[in-house]
Amino acid sequence: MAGFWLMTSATYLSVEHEQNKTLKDEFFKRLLDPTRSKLWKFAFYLFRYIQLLVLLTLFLFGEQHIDLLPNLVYICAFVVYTTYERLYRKSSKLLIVFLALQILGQYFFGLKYHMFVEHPEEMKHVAWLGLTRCHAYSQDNIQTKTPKQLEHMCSDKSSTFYTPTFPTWIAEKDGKPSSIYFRQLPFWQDVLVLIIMSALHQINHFYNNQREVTQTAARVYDLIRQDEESGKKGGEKSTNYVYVVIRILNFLEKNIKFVCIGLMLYYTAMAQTNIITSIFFG
Amino acid sequence: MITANLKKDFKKQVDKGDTAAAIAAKEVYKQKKSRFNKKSKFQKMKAGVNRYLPFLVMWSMRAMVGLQAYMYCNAFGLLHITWVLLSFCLPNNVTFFISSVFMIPIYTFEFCMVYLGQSHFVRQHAWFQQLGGPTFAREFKYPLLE
Repeated sequence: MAGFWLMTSATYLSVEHEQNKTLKDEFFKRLLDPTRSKLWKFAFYLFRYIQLLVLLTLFLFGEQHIDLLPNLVYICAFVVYTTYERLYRKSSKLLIVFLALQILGQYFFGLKYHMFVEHPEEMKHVAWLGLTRCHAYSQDNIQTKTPKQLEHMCSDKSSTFYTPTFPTWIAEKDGKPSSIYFRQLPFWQDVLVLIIMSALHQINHFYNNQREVTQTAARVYDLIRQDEESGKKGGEKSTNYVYVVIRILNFLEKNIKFVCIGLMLYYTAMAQTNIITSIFFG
Repeated sequence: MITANLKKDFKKQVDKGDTAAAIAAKEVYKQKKSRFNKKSKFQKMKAGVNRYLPFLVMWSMRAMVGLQAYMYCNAFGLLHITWVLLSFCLPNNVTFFISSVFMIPIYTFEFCMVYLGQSHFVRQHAWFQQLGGPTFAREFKYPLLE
């Protein structure tokens, strides 16, 4: 309650200091300040394409269970947003909305599971939607099996990322909740991904203006280069690792097509040689 | 104004050639100046807190309300988690507005119902039953915490 009263006062403050703009201004101020740490400059380059790293990670984790809706969405998001960066800049909120709906659905399932557990087909749909990680929660199983047996039925040892959460309502025999405390455990992975997506959306505000980003990137690169050159003139051995890393990142950014062609040739060499792979990679 | 006057006083003493008085005036000036600097530091800190307070309040409330939603898994928990998820999806200004207009009355109502639900006398009344009293009239499992 006190927190919500604080939010009332924060309403006026948020009008005075627009949060996204404040964070962006502060970041750019630190970025172009020669006295600040070089890590800010490195962060600028890292944050620019960090969404690809996150989506790639989700893609790799979801690859094992591709038949689930969340994994399909992550894979599609990775493919589309890697191809069209500007689309990501405009629509990064979609992933947050999707995850919000997922978590809301999971909570709703925790409250109203009686509506689904009696129908195995519906339970399969619920599992496909990602609202539960196991569709062995049928009414019969709940009535006849012990919680440990059900847990064993639902545990999938092949995946460490999607270890199913075991709801506490399994112990209810008469269909009535014995306690309202911690009945539905959250899927921590989804909560974590939501927080990461929210952070990515916040970072996305820094890079919305393409022209500003290009100009800033050039200025940051010049600052780092000047720093490197002044160090060399002074006769000191260069220890500016940020300069080296940024040069590599710049090289990758400019020549990403050659990297892709190289990867394609590698996979062509590794793949079975037949007409289909030749047409596909051609 | 005060520091400017002290500075003038110090210059006057120097012009007069009164070294001891000039040093004393300088000391007073330094002390006053340091006090003013401390004040400005406080003002800077206050401005910084004001700038980032909405951000901090938002994240702390998300964490607290989210925890509460999972702790009490009921219809109001669904409402709480909806607010948490909406705060991620909507712009900050809209979330603050929703929190001020809707969440404070909802929380007040919830608090009153839980508090009244502890009374055996109130629990028997029809109006309490009609307002969904049984949902709130529960025994506390963690009374110290609650």
